[in-house]
Amino acid sequence: MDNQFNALCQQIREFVEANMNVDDEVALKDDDNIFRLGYVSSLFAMRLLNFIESISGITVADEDIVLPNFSSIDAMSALIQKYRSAA
Amino acid sequence: MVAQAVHPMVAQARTFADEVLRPQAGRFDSEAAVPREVLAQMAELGFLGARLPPEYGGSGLDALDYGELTVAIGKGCPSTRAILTVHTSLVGETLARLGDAEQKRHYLPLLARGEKLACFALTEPEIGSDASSVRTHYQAVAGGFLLNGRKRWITYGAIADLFLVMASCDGQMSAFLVERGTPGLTTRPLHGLMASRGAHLAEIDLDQVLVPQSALVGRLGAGFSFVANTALFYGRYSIAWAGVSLAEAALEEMVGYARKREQFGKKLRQHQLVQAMLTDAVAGVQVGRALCEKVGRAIDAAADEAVNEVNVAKYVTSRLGVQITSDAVQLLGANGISEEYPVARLYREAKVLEIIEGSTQIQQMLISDYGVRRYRVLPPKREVARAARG
Ligand SMILES: Cc1cc2nc3c(=O)[nH]c(=O)nc-3n(C[C@H](O)[C@H](O)[C@H](O)COP(=O)(O)OP(=O)(O)OC[C@H]3O[C@@H](n4cnc5c(N)ncnc54)[C@H](O)[C@@H]3O)c2cc1C
Repeated sequence: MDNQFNALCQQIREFVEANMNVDDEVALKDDDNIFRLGYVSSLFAMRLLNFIESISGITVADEDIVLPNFSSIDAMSALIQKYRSAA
Repeated sequence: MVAQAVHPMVAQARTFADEVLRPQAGRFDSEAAVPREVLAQMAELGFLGARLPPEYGGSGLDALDYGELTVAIGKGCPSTRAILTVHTSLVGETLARLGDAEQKRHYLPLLARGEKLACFALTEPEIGSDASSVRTHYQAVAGGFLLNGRKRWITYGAIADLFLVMASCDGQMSAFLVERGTPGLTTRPLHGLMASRGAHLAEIDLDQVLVPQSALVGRLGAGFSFVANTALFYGRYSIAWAGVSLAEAALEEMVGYARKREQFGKKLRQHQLVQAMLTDAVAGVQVGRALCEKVGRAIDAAADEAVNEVNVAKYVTSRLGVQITSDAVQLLGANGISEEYPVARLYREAKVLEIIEGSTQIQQMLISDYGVRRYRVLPPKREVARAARG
């Protein structure tokens, strides 16, 4: 894993953490399903899509714009990885 | 101060509003229809494709200029402005963002030229604010999807050619493009409304409507999380500016009247309590504009904050719209309730903006959630605190 990729994942993590509707500090795990755990609402999905596109420069294809690809840090890392290895 | 250059399309829209819309808006309201010729003129002038990408025949206005266009048309006639909200913002912009290559290639030029009018069909007789619970049902079948259900309050639904329909199946929402003329789709105009009378609102029945696979916008299950939320974001931006348009139109009426009308031997504008109303209106219009411009700049910069800030702007301008149009009725006295002046109509129209695109109460839920994150004071990071202690 290169540094640029790690930095992108870290930015996504910080973005998610800054937008979580939680009172007590919860430690976000990489495989936590942020929608199912109620950390964010489904309204947040579109912001994640826009955010990932803007920080990574990739354009997520129509077939990948589905909730499971945005539901955890792991899923989003895998999504970015997929586009980077295709490029 | 250097006057800012006005986009030529915005200048055209202002002229069109002054010459065509403003003189007729009262009639469109009382006759309960914005005439098709007016929509055709809007299309001819390129307004319906204002915000769509140039490669699909749109004019590619940036978000700020599109806001000004919305204000210009909205000041002329709110029911005419509504075609921009549903056709250009809710459907056009959403297809440009989330449609597949073929949907964009086929539909966007038609929408940009206004050859097809589009509407957005989410709300149902039993489901409004709780939008993720729509009951209109889809079922995957050989050759595509079968849609069944009823939509209500659909702006321009009575005359639209294309319907972006939200439906659900097993708790998942998906979005479909349905063309008028598809067997099983019928529309019924809604009458007897307090406002939006000219905007061809309709109830829509979907009875065993078969649409092809290619009608699906986004992937199955992405209908709420991505398609509806994207559409509502664009729609909210449009409605935020619509609030400014009503407030500004009302302020102009107030000013015109207060400068002319005399009571107790002086102009209304010289009475201090009238000055208070004028002051609130001036300040309100400027606050509303500033918020909308802030969101417009954020959209143009593709900044994430636009998504939350648009709620703030919509919340504020819809309420300001009600307050300022109400004061306009007050300032005009008995003339305020007369059809001979537009302020009563503006007042009726303003109330709608507090109901649609996320009601005031829904915005309060969203904005307070946003507020408790945005304005939370975090404890100082440990290293920083340690360094500060020395
Ligand atoms: C002129 C007009 C044009 C429209 N155009 C369209 C269109 O083009 N397409 C479309 O799909 N829809 C359209 N709508 C429908 C509109 O989106 C809905 O009216 C809106 O979502 C509110 O839903 P509702 O009317 O069912 O009210 P409800 O959701 O039943 O709400 C009733 C009241 O309860 C409040 N409320 C609801 N839930 C809560 C809560 N959790 N907490 C506190 N208060 C709450 C609301 O704020 C409101 O005051 C239009 C409506 C109008 C009036």
